[in-house]
Amino acid sequence: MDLLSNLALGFETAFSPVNIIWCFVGVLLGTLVGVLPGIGPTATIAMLLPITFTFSPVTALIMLSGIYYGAQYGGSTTAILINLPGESSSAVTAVDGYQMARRGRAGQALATAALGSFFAGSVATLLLAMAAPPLASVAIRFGSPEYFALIVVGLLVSISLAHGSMLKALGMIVLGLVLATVGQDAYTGTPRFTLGQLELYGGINFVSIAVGVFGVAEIFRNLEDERGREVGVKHVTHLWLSREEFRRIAAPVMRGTALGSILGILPGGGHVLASFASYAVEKKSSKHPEEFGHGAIEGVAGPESANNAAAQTSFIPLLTLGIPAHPVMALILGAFILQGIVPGPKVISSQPELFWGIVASMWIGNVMLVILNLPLIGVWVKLLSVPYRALFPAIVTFAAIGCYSINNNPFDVYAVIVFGVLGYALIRCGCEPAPLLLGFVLGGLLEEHLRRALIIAHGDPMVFIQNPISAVLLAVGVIILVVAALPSIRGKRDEVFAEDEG
Amino acid sequence: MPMTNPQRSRNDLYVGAIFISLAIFFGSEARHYDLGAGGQVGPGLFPVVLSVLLLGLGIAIGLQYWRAHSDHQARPVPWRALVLVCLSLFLFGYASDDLGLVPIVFICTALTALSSTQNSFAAALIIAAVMSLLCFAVFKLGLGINLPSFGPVFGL
Repeated sequence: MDLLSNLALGFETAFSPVNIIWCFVGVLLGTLVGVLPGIGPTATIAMLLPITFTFSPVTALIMLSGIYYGAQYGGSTTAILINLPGESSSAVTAVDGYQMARRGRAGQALATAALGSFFAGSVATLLLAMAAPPLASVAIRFGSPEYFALIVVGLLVSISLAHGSMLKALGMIVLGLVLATVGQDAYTGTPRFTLGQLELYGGINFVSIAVGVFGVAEIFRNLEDERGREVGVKHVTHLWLSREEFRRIAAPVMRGTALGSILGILPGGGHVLASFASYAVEKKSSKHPEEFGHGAIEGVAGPESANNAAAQTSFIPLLTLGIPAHPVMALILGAFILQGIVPGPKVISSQPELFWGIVASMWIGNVMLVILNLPLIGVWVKLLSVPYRALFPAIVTFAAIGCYSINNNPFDVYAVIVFGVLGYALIRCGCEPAPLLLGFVLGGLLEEHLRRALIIAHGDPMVFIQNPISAVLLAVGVIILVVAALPSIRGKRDEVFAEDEG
Repeated sequence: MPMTNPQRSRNDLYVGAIFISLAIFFGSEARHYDLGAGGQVGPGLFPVVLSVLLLGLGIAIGLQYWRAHSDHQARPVPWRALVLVCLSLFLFGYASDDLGLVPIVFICTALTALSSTQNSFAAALIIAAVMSLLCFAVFKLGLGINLPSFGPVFGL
């Protein structure tokens, strides 16, 4: 069978000593930043991007992916032990997980989270391996009009999934698109918005933007209100489940995995939505809904599986279409480009060992994560007692070194200041940073396909409507926008995200 | 005119103002670029369209301020952190070549640490010392970064 021989190639690549080591470093770092509140995978990957220059492409991508899904595991540990989501998607886990911990069942909660995540991660990776090649073979026939329409739809979907004001999310996307036009125009060579600065000819460095709005702005946000956090649970015991508990989590894990796998493909933080949706489903279908909010094990199992499944399947749009579904994928796209590879449908056929190596490494990474997160949980608990006031100076310094070493250029560090302050101002006023980064990364592609499509059509904008695929996609985009703006749907959205505010 | 309510959050006004001023800046720059003609799309078209969109969105968001809409209470702006973090990032960009990795990390970490009111001066120095050692080990010994450990200022 084709799939088997491909997977064999993948495991051969992923099992090489170099790749195993960096996969381990990736998931270890991922767990670390997942556990520590105040620094997420986005800022971490942005900072580490420069040092992966020297790696081979497959090694670099295995490590960076490891950081991302590793953070999903680590985030739940923090949520359960100190009721603070280490990562946005584990916000729901905090609800029942923390209640379980307070009742002395932290061990069971952690085991549930780790096992559920492992199951979901493995299944979703298999799904990725099966779904990506056929999708890519469809996508390979896409021309510029189709790509243009696809990117527009992707951007619009990401708005409808964001919580908070839709207008603001739309504004952040447009701002990101504008920022992407800075630099020398690819067709005519005209310098745009460079203000006479030589450094801006190549465009704004996206690591600077990512570190600014996700790293530095986040630190300002945390320093608004300095409270010490308390680790409620010092020692974790009973890190395993009884037969009865296994029985209780089986169905929620399955449902969470299915839900997460589907929602993860959607652009704009599908993994956050997946965990919220899974929690709602479990609460509705439970025979004891009154237990939810007071330490229901199903309330940990479902959402944790969902966000991990979504973390894996969110690689699908990137690996098949070259379109990142959210900021972390945007950074991984950046890693591809830095390595001289244009991600898209051709990668699977032209560089099979790269694609299958990444897929195989996800299984290996998930196994490592279970080992890291269950027997070694004590280490992470200790780590949680490092106070934030010692942590954020380290984050700022790492950010500065990381940005500086991309080009050995002070300009990239100054750009962090600008985007840190601008990002903080916008976030403080209720805007979300993710749409901005998504717009920035997709802006170049969007403009390129728009112009190329128009050139081929001799300047006739009707090409987007005459092409059947792009017409359908654009119609979907309009529907999404209209539906998301309808008051009844808005009410539902607010309901789904309501628990996030607490 | 509605009464100005001190409790009402001005967030929408601020966001609107930020978007509008950025739209005006980018829009007025982009006017000078070629919009293109015939089958060719010039370098100016995409930015001009986006600037107009951003302007429209900025106005729409700003107008929301006048709709009844209360927001939760704002937390204080951490001015001290804003100043110190930006200053230390600026210093890093400006002086890292001359000072070298270890001294610049020490200075920047110490400055940044002081932006938390919970860090005493001594605590900041300790954090800075630990970070200098750590960064030397990770970036210089581990990753072989281009920056010298100690820069030319020290005459080494």
